[in-house]
Amino acid sequence: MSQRLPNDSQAQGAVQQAMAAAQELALVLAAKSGDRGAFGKLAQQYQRQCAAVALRLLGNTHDAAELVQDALVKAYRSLDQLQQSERFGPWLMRIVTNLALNYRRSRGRRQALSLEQTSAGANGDDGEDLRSSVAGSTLDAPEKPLANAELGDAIQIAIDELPEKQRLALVMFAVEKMPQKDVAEVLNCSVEAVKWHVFMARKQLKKSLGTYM
Amino acid sequence: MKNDTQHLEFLISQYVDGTLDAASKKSLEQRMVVDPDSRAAYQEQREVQDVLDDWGNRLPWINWEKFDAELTHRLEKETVGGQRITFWRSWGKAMAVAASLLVAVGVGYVWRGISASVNDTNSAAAQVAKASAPSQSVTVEENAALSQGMHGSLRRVEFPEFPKSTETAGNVQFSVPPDVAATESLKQAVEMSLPKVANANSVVQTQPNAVTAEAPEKPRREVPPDHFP
Repeated sequence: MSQRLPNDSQAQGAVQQAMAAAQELALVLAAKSGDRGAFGKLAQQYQRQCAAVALRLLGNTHDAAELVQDALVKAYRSLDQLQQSERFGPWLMRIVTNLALNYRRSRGRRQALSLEQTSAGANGDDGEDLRSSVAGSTLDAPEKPLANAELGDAIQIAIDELPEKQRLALVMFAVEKMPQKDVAEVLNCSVEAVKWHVFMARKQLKKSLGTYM
Repeated sequence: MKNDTQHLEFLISQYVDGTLDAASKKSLEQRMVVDPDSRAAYQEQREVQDVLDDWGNRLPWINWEKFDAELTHRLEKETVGGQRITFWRSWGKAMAVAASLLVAVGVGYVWRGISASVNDTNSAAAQVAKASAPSQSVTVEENAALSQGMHGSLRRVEFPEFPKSTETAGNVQFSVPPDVAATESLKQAVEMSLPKVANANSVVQTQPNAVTAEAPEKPRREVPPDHFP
């Protein structure tokens, strides 16, 4: 039985990956001992990915940036609870997604209340229009870089309507290209379950975006 | 049948994501060559993923410099472990020391004032003299009746803690309860007080539990005979 040996570029890639992991571990350990500078470097390393995920979950840049700040502060405060220092990334992303879900729930309650109050003061027929305008406004004007902004809005609305785990799996894995193992850790499920959530989410998305595709 | 279709679509989903194992991948590719439904299912999923890739590659602009500055500012107030660095946390110890010093100085000042007032026993008719005996004080007060009466200038000396003094001609006797073994202290206290009292020249321990302050009698005033009725 023959084994395929890695070629030079694969070996070099693995070495670089190991070095990056070792550097990150050193930063985490320093941050755990109270080194804010080390934590700042970790934050810079992850904040873009965190913001991207938060943005896909919330649909608003301002809210996403604010949420990532909150998540980073919370992470720094809770560093002593991080058991596996080498798994900082997924641990941080878990904080981000938890905060995002909480934010969505509270926003949902606020919007429902607002809709009830508005429809109580107007005709009942206005409800559907208001609902679609609220959903459509989740992407601010400067956040519509797609050539087809309408499609961007439609994707955001379709993702918002997915079940929680499907939404998270799709955003983290299929959109933001996080490793499945990390996504599984964030969702507290198996890698196979992540694959299934992504599959179901994409299937649902195909239905929702049917007219745009 | 439905389960078979779903299983096939699930395999295709993993194929699109590149997470299918080598054997399953080869098998699926062979099937797609001959099965148009499989190819159509792949096309559908590929299309959705392409849209997501395009959407995911377009991120709105975020001012990261401002973000970093704000984060640094916020982290300055935080510690690992969750204790916020508040005003009291950073200055509390210094303020506690300052408060302690202030209290100590205040107590010293008040104590000094009390000491000064206790020592200043010469100033008024009603004075407080600190007895040498611990925790005993002697009230010395002018007694007009005594000072102008037949017993001359003897003034009353009272120990508030002790039973009422008894007066005899020219003398005042102080007694303490038998269970108070402070006769010597009592004597010392009276001796310390009486020099400030005119004409009280000696204090004598007359009984085991009493002392007597002796004062000389003033000569009686001579009254002219014609004043008698």
